[in-house]
Amino acid sequence: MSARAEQGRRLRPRTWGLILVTLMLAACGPRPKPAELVSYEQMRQGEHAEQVKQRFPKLFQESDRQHKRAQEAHEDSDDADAMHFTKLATATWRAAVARSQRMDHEASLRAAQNRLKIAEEGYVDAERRLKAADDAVARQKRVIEMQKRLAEAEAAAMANKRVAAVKQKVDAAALSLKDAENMNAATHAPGEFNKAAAGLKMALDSFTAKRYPEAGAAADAALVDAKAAIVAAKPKWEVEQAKLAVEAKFRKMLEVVATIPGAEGRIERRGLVVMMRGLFAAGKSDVSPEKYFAVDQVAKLSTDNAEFRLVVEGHTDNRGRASRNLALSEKRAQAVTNYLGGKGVAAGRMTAIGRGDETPIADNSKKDGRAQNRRVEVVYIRP
Amino acid sequence: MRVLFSALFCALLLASWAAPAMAKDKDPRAELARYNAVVVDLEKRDGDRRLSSEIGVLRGLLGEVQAYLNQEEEDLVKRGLDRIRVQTRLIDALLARDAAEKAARLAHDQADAREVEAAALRNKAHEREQELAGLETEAKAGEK
Repeated sequence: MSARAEQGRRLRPRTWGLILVTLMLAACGPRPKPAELVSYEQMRQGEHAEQVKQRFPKLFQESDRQHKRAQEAHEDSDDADAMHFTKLATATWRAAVARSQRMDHEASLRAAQNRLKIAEEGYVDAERRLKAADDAVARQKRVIEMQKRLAEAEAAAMANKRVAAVKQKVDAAALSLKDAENMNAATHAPGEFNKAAAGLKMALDSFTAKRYPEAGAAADAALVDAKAAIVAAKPKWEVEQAKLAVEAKFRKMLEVVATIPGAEGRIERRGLVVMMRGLFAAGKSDVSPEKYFAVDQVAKLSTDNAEFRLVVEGHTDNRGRASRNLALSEKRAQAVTNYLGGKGVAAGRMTAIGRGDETPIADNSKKDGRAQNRRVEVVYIRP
Repeated sequence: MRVLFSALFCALLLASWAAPAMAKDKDPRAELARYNAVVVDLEKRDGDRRLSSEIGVLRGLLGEVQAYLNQEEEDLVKRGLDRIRVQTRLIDALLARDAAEKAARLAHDQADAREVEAAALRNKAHEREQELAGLETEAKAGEK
């Protein structure tokens, strides 16, 4: 046997002794805690400990007492009691934590209710804002709509005004053309008149086609042309009118003459001729008294129509010499002129002329014819 | 309102538990009978069965205690009733916590929804106010 092996045999009892001592020491040391107790103690070190202690001191203390009893039981190696009190402590602790969490949730609930209240107020406020904005938008839209309508109405009024102005121009041109027509401008100033008529037609056509600017321009031109036609036609028209007026007057005077006994009237180129027969006895130049009434009527006719110059023509029958008849006719004309002058007819208006026997109106071979030829004719001369 | 009912219910429940606790030394059978009724109430409150394991533990304890009563093991009955009391208290606390959590979550959801609605309405009002400003500008231009 080697020295080394011998040494091993000597050391072996010592090693076994050490192991035995170690085991004895281990048996005398603290027993390991059950898992439930360890778990509880870890739980107690958790985040809720301080909060639970403050909020639920009785539960906290109860849990502590139960834990203490569990530890004592464990130290007394009473595993059943240790487990029992550990379970009690755990359940008590968990209940305390649950109550604490419940408090947190209730606080959270209040916060949520507060949020809800604020949100509700915000909703109501937004609703009020929206309603106010809606109302204001609706009002503003109505305002804009009214503005649009007003603008449209104003535009329509302006358009109507423009149309009315054009219509007025067309009417004015038509009226002027009518005036020109009445002044017989078609005859007296055909160039201007036809131009105006064509212009008016163009204006009317344009107006009907709603080409108002063209219509207005054409109407303006037609008006100018119509006025030019009037200006051009006016002198001739006035002459014409004067003639017509004289004619009309002559016709009225003829009606008066028809009421004068022994007087006859006729209209000739030179004027109105009032013939008075049998004013004189044969060879005489004095107006027979029975004819005064008739001559008085002629005098009145003359003073009533003072614008005419008078030519008083004396006539004789053909008995006697022509030179004597001429002188007699002059005397007769002068006698009537004087008579009329005595009745208020201005002498300056009258001219006495003797025509002798040159212009008989009846048969001189007969007594009645000769009496008719012894006459005076008062001629109202055309102006 | 829901929270108020829950609180009222809890108060009644605590009152019903207080009675057996006060009478615990007098008649364990009666106390056990009361807890048997309480566990039914707790199950009803645990509608979504989140605490079925805890309630299962309680039912197990009730069964054990009943067995100890039958065996006339008074010490074990007393310890079992102690366990039943704290387990019941735990379940009640958990149920109340869950109810409070649920109510808070619901309230937060409602608040979230209302805040979203309010924000949407505010945006709408803002848009309408902008529209109004545009219309007012248009109207002023129309006046000119």
